[in-house]
Amino acid sequence: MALNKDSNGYVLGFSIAMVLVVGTVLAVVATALKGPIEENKKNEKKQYILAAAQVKGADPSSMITRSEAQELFEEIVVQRMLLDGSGNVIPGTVKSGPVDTKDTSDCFNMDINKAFKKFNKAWKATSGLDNEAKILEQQAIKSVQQYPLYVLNVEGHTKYVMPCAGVGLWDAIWGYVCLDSDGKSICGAVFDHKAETAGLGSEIAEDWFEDQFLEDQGKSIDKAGAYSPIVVVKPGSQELDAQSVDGISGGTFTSAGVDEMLKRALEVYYVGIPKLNELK
Amino acid sequence: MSEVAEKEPLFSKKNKQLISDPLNENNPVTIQVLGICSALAVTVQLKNAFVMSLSVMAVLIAGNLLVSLLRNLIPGRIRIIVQLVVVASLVIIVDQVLKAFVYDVSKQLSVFVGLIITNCIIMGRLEAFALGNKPWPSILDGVGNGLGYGLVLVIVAFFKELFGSGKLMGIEIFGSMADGTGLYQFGYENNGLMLLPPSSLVIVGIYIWIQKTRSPQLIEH
Repeated sequence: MALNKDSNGYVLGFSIAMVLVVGTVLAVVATALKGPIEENKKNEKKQYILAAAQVKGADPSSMITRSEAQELFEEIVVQRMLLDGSGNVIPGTVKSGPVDTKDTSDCFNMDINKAFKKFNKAWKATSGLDNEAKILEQQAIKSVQQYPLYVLNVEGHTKYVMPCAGVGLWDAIWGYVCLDSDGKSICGAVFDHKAETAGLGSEIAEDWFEDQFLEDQGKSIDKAGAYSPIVVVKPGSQELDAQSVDGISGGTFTSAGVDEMLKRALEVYYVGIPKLNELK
Repeated sequence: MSEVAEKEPLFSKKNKQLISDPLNENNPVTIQVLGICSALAVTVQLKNAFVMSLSVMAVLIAGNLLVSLLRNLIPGRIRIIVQLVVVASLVIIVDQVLKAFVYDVSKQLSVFVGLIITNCIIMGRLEAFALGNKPWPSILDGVGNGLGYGLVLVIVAFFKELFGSGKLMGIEIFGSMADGTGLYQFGYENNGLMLLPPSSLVIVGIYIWIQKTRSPQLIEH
């Protein structure tokens, strides 16, 4: 061949052609698959909300499937709303029926992980302040947060499902916790993570961990009439009570992340759900 | 080498060796010590090890094929960059396809799909084999090295899951620790160290020891 493969012109031409081809292929693939991927993510959210409330599909021994959740969601989730930092319903955010994906005031469309990232950044920025200013600033940050709440009607019983988001060892962790109509007893939870270590931190998404939040385990966020967060303890280190669950051996940071996100999120709902019940 | 390959049958002795060599005497993990990072991290559960091996093999075969087809066009000076682009694009496509059509599998693999890009075996095979060989042998080389990698991963994961969590493929082998049945009622406990990456090093070390004892010609002097 007459082509000199080592000439600058050839190298430059090859690089440009390669970038163009690869760029086009990736763009085409990404655009073509965007629809199904978004749909999967949306249905997974519905799946988790229903699974947290222990709604079962055709196979009662495992989690409700994504397609079943898609069908049952509108029927079981009777209301969706956003609460502010003091647990009051934000006006105009109470929705029911089909989800309009373009409606930004619908809590279903809120990306809880993005919201947490923003919150975490603002929160960390307060670390340089002195004590008094720090407390004021942190209160201000907390009060502008929005907290999604799903009201479910499971076989005639009212149940509340709330998402929570936090950070594990590597990346985001999140979950959906179900509270009974009294707003205190926990009757289910589902957790998931973006990148926790398989077999260690990733265990938070396993049945044995989630089953600790089932109704028959008697966990509650209320202790003698006051808010008492659920604590994730070192496994085997102590007798478990109504406010503690076993953590993960070898997954200490992930366990601490779950502990922190539950503590922060459930506090608002502990105040908010009784207010909601009073309105009824 | 091209004039010989022209008349070769598809599975000639030489081509068969491309598959069998990486399983033992030229194993990418235990002999070439490549791809150790994922062998340490993705071996806590047997199931993950299987899926990871399959994904690596898929990328390895496709990457080998593409680079082999392009081998006469790729300028030598930027060949590493070209290989990297090929591997990275393949991994992104695999990731997107998994997310769109087998969402559950993609969730299980999570970060590890992305990490395939940095798996040294893939770059190693593209550079050492695909760049200088025809497409068919390159595909076989991909299959062989993928199997060799998978073999070590699965063996390591077998011991780690068995002694670390008392399970295999998620099924309890030694009885239930929570209920205190099976071996656990005699005071047996799972070894927490087996869940952590250092234990993989020990297992890979023992593997190499056994392998080199059985095939003394592999010992370097």
